[in-house]
Amino acid sequence: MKRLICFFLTVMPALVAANLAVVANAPTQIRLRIGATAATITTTTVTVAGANVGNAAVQLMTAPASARTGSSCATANFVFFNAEARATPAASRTATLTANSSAGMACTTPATCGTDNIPFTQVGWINTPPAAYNPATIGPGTFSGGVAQSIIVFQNSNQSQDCLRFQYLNSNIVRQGTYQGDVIYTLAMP
Amino acid sequence: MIVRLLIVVWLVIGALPHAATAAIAKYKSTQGTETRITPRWLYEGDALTPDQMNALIAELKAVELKIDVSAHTGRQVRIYLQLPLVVKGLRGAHGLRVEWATRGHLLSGSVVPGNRTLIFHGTVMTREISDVFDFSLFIDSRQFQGGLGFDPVFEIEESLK
Repeated sequence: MKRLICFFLTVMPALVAANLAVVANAPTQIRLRIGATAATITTTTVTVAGANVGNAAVQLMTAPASARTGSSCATANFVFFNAEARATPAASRTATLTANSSAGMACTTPATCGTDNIPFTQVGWINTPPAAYNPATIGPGTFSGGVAQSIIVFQNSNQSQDCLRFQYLNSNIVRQGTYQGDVIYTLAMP
Repeated sequence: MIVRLLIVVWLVIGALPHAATAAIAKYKSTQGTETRITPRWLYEGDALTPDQMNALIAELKAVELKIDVSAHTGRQVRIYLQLPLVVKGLRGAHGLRVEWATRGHLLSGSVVPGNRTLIFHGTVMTREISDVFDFSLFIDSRQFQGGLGFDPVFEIEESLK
């Protein structure tokens, strides 16, 4: 005689408290404004009198009013910087603002200065950050002449608002003429 | 005679309803459970305050909720929308505020975690009370840890009267 024993095993679904909705991470967003808004490139300028060339007396550069339009940079000739890095969760990613100043300032008046180039290591800045919320501010510094000089590093969700006044360090004797160059800033949050 | 009358009055006062029973009502959503919402940044601009910089909004529109009030038919009730104090995915309770607008007879309002807001006061005439809700969740991204669970609770308070 055989007896069969049947085993029934019923596995009940686990009771999971379901939410009405789940809010996912927000889209990552970075914003960068350097000086004027939109596609306008801000130009800062300085004229060094012949008698002062190369005497290491710092020459403050001027900037147009558009370089700080709508910002809290109140003082003339300052350039507004705003870098924002938004992502969730907070403090989970790092944003870095870099500057490429490798091109230097090329002579645009060849009759007097030929193909001379003044390196951007001759340009620095001071910062008077606005009174608004500002967890990260750019320190005073000088361009390195490199392709990716780190200007400021901060974590999301944060921003850096700054008012920079550029200055020509004037420590080299250069030929008379006009020199011009671009610095390219890049904000990244990998 | 006067003394007896006073005693009667005291007894009547003692019997007046001043308490209520509270129960958590089940509800159903016509959108099913765990709708996934992607929030967006509430403000854009060059000069944001810290609160603006970190303000997120997540919207859940046109959600019909049916609240089971069958156990309270014929009774005078107050129904509250409540948020638990601890919200999954949120570091601190102050990082969330929920606003809603209804399209029917329930009251619109707002609530923060650990609190409740009245949405109905009256006599229950049906087994279910339903309305269409448009929810807006205002989130402080500094408190947001991801996968924030929005789990409103409907609390029914029935008068003992």
